[in-house]
Amino acid sequence: MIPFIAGRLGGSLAVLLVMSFVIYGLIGLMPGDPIDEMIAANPDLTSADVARLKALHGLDQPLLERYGNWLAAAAGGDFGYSRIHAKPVLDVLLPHLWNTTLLMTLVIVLSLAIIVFSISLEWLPAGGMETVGDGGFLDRASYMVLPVLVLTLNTVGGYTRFIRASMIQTLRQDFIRTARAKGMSEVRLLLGHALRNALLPLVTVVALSFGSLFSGALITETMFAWLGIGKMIFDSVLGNDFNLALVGLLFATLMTLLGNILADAAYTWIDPRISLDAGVKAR
Amino acid sequence: MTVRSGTVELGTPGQRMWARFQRHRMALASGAFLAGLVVLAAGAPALEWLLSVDGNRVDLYQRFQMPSLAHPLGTDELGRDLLVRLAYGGQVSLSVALVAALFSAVIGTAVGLSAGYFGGRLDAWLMRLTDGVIALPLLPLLIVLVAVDLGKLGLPEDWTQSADAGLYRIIAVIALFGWTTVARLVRAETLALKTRGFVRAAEAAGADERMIIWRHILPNTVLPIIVATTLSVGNIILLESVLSFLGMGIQPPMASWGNMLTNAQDLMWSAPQLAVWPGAFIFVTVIAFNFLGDGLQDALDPRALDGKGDP
Repeated sequence: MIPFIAGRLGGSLAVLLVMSFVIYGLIGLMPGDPIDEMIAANPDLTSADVARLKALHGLDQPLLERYGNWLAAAAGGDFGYSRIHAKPVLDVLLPHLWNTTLLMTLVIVLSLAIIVFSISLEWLPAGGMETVGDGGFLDRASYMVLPVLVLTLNTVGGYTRFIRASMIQTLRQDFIRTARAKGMSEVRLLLGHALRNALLPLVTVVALSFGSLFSGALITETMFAWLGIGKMIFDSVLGNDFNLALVGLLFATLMTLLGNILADAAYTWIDPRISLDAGVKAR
Repeated sequence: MTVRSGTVELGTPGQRMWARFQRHRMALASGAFLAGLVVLAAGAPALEWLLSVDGNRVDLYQRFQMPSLAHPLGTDELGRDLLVRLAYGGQVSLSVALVAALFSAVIGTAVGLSAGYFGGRLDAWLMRLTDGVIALPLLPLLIVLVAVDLGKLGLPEDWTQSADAGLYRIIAVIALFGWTTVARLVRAETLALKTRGFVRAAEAAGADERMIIWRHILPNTVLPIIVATTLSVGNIILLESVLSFLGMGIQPPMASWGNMLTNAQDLMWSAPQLAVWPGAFIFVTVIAFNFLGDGLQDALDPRALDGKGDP
């Protein structure tokens, strides 16, 4: 287990490094560069000033060299300054990250709740999301209702199809027939035996979606002006905020890769029949 | 395999496929709907002529008209005829989706065939690449790719500024990420076909690799490719709509269903029909392509039914 995860982490790190170069190159292809943005804001700059500034910030150097400089600085925790927020990139990223995490956690919890309570148990959807908390949270919660609803509906569809397929497979198995033969009640059979086993692969799907939800909520966050990672990436690309866009994208990649590892690890942890060290992939 | 659910299927393979397809009512209806949509989209200029309106002409005196004989669905916030805009938007959305799906299929087939047939290190690298592309955060990357300044890639200025450039760019960007499903499918299929008797026989008879791939393997992977490509069209329409909606895909005044929604979002309360119509077209079209794909799957690839049957 440990060597497997270490191996996967190493592999993901390599992918992340490659992606950081690809994304760095892509960002460099976006219109203008930071100094051009400054000129647009300040018409007094002469072309000599521009050349001097570009040299000062290393923008006249070839791509590989610039990437090397960025990587060296990033390794030291310096991701540069965000242009539209006028703050260090990490100071912008972290509050957005918290907002997205809030949204995502609710979405995943809620969609699982809907599946278990309304689809599997055929109860009514559990009484909304009036989570007990302080006043500040309740106020925020009222803003979260719609985006969470949209994302939840989106997620529920996928999960439902998945559980359906998984249930059909589980119900064909011998231990279900045995349980039936012993005269177990249908409800107990479905919930206690079939659903429990059918839910195993769902863990993988949830872990996978956790990674992609961090970036995939881009549309919903933009529509509802929810200041999460998705909206941050969108705004930074639109606003030519190179440093922020770069880090945002890398972060989204990192979350997706971590989600994949988490999915594999969770699967072995829950289903002991599968051993990762033997090289069996969960997906 | 000729006996299914108690009925004997007769006739040529084509007739049997058609019979299986017909059993899928929703797929039939979807096919009819999509055919109608194609007629509407292709007939956009005729529609303009018929209604004697110009789809791109701004007429602020005619803003927010209710449906009438002159404007069957009314007009939008700039006084343009909604039905004509929808037809032109359909042209753009459908052609982007179909062309992008086609390119994805071609890339995916090439990757899958070479990975599956040649195997070894090439297979390992190509499949690692495929897994890598699947693991990427799609939407944020698409947004950066769509924002790329084509001028910096050394393309001529007058081309990058033209309206068509946006169209080609979005097709290229989507095709760049859309090939993974087909690649995996074709690889699996190729791996299975490679060991089949007729391929072995061709090898023994001295056929060269090109011959085997083109004459024996590729034709046998076509049906699953068609099904996967049809199913992907719906997703591509959604992607294009999302990018256009965010203002990063098809640029106005060229209409696409996605960018028609951009302004409609602000006018949701005063003129809901502006959001409802393009939204409904996107929704129904995407669903129709999915049903059509399901139907084609049942008709063309009956082995896939219930996951039973031998390959």
